[in-house]
Amino acid sequence: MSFNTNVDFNQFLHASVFLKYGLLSVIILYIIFLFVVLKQVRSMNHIITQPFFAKILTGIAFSLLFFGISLFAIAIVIL
Amino acid sequence: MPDVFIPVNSTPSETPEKPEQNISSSLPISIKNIMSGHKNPVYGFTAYKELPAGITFDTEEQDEVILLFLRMHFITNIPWIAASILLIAAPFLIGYVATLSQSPFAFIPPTFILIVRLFYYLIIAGYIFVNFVTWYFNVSLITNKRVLDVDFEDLIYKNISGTKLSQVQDVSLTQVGVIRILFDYGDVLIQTAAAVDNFELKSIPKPERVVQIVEALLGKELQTNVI
Repeated sequence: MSFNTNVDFNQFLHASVFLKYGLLSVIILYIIFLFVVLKQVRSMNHIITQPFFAKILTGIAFSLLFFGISLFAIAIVIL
Repeated sequence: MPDVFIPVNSTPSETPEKPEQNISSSLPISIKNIMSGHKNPVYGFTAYKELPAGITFDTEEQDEVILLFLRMHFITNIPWIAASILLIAAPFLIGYVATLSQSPFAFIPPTFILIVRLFYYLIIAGYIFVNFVTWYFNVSLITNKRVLDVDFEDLIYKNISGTKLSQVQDVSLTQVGVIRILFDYGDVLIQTAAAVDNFELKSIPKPERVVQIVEALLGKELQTNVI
């Protein structure tokens, strides 16, 4: 990652570290949230069952979680 | 000579299939007069369905028939749908404004902005999904034996309550406002015996019809409160 160094060095250093680890922490928290979403969707599908839509909703929840984890991996590699 | 070993040809399934019911025979006479005898398919965005097909719930009894399947009217989703559209459009608007003036965040590298933007859209996708799921799982069921209300809010609150029809004392509806009258939805209050909580079915479509069906089950007359 190449930051534009046309700024004060201290400002640059502080901002880059803060933004990088701040963003990674927030993504981790959001992945935990998506995991809770997936668990709740699966739990509710047992209470009220519409077989076809239950699969679709679980699939979407899985996709969001997968996208979140992929984004975290990409963020680690790129940043 | 008696058989010692009788081979089992078919293995029983994990959840036994409910035998195809003769719905007409399971319905009370008062309901037969106001409802058709055949089941109707329920789709993903269905908010009101009489005699729904393909719906089951975990405490359903063998001879129980779901008479009404209810959710909040789909129009109640408009606020979060509008908010989502604005949130999706926001980065484009901000990007356009940023091109007109010198951005104070010009030192941030484009790869970082790309990750932030992807994460932003993931958050919006999660917001849309959670709101839809909250609407989707907030279901009320009226069967030939009881009233069942499933409350599901903000992913952390889950409440499933039910009462037998014999404990229902009164049912009334409230329809306030132009939008509710225009789209024909309102609140139905099912009052039960003192020890049991009342059921408030909020913003459900065709409230007068719901009250009519519940009254028919109870054998009472319609009580409305339309403002």
